[in-house]
Amino acid sequence: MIVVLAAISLMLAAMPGALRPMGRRLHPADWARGVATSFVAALVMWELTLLLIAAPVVLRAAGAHGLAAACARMAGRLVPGGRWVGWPAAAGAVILPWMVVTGVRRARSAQRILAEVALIGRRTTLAGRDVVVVDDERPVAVSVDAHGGVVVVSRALVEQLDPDQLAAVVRHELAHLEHRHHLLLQLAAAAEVSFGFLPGARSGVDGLRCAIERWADEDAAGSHECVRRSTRRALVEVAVGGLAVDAAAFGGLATVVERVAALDGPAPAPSGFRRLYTMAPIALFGLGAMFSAVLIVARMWFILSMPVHCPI
Amino acid sequence: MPRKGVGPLEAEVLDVLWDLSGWLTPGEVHDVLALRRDLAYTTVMTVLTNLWEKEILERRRDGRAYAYHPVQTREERTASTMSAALTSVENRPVVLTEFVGQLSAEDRAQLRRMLSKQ
Repeated sequence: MIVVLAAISLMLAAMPGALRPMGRRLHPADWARGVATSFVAALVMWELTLLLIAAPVVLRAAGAHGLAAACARMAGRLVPGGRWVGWPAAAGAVILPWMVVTGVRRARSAQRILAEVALIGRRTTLAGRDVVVVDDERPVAVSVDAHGGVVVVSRALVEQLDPDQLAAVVRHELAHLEHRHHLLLQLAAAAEVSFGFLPGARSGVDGLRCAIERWADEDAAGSHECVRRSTRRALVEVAVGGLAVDAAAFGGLATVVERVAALDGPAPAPSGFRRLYTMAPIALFGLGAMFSAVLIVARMWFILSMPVHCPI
Repeated sequence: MPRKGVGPLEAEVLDVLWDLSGWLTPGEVHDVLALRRDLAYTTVMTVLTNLWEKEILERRRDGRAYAYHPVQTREERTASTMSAALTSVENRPVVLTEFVGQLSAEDRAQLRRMLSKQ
């Protein structure tokens, strides 16, 4: 049973990457939520799997022989390896939460520094919104989730874009704040650190980040053709006219092209039925993981409630 | 070395120093802040000392007290903080919800070619 749970956990981590071409056809908000759910389930189930594999060996070492035997019996014969697998799994069960925290801290680091800009920056009204304009030669717009959420734009961006394009950029950043996208970014970073070893997981993480940006694009662009055009032009202006050449954007050109192409067409319709069949594999694996976990807990309960003299 | 940021109370004190400009003693800063909120004189003095220790303020003797002055203007401080966030982070596009990250020169040229064909 634990082998099944392990396989399902890893499938849940790899599935968003495999389904990415189908996910692009969904509304980005639906796809981002689906991928996030899959990653959360994968992280929880993978931790549970490692704990269950490690339990017999660790409990035996701690002197709880009866409980260790119960756990070993509950794990079933399919779990390979005894202590050769148990101790690495115990190490993994400790390392995984640490990796999650590392990913989240990495994602928070820039926001921590920018929180100061939100506090001390001089607020001004731009495109009818309260923003902080910073004297920077790079065309940059970022959302800072600290202190109630602030949009920060650079002077270079203000000078480079026309008012409609600037309004689109500000709406894009406000959408990030409204939908609390920084939490999804933290999850993406945690999944990247934790499942970096898994083929396909990286693609799923990139897909989540791209979906987050497209989600904000769609919120900013709405369904009016002229507004969509302004948003698209702003995206191209900032991407093409970027002054600094210090780092590639995530996913590089592919991500920008995907976003430009999406804004070139009409606003995406609600995902409806497409969401059902695109998410079906993730939902099935998620249900499978839950079912396995319930079975394992039920079996544990049964074994522990046996009479003491029963040989286990 | 990690960048020493400022907290909400420190930002309020900095606000006063920036808005009034010049060199201000703890008493003068306290007088302004006391109009907005209930704050002890010793708290203001502690905050000013903390900001001086973080090298955000400079100070000089003014009679029996010290007078404080920001090392950078508000605009310089926000710009340098923004710059620190954008350049010091290991993988900036991955951790920030930017409108768009910076493309390499090659990517920009390719995007320009693609768009010119449309």
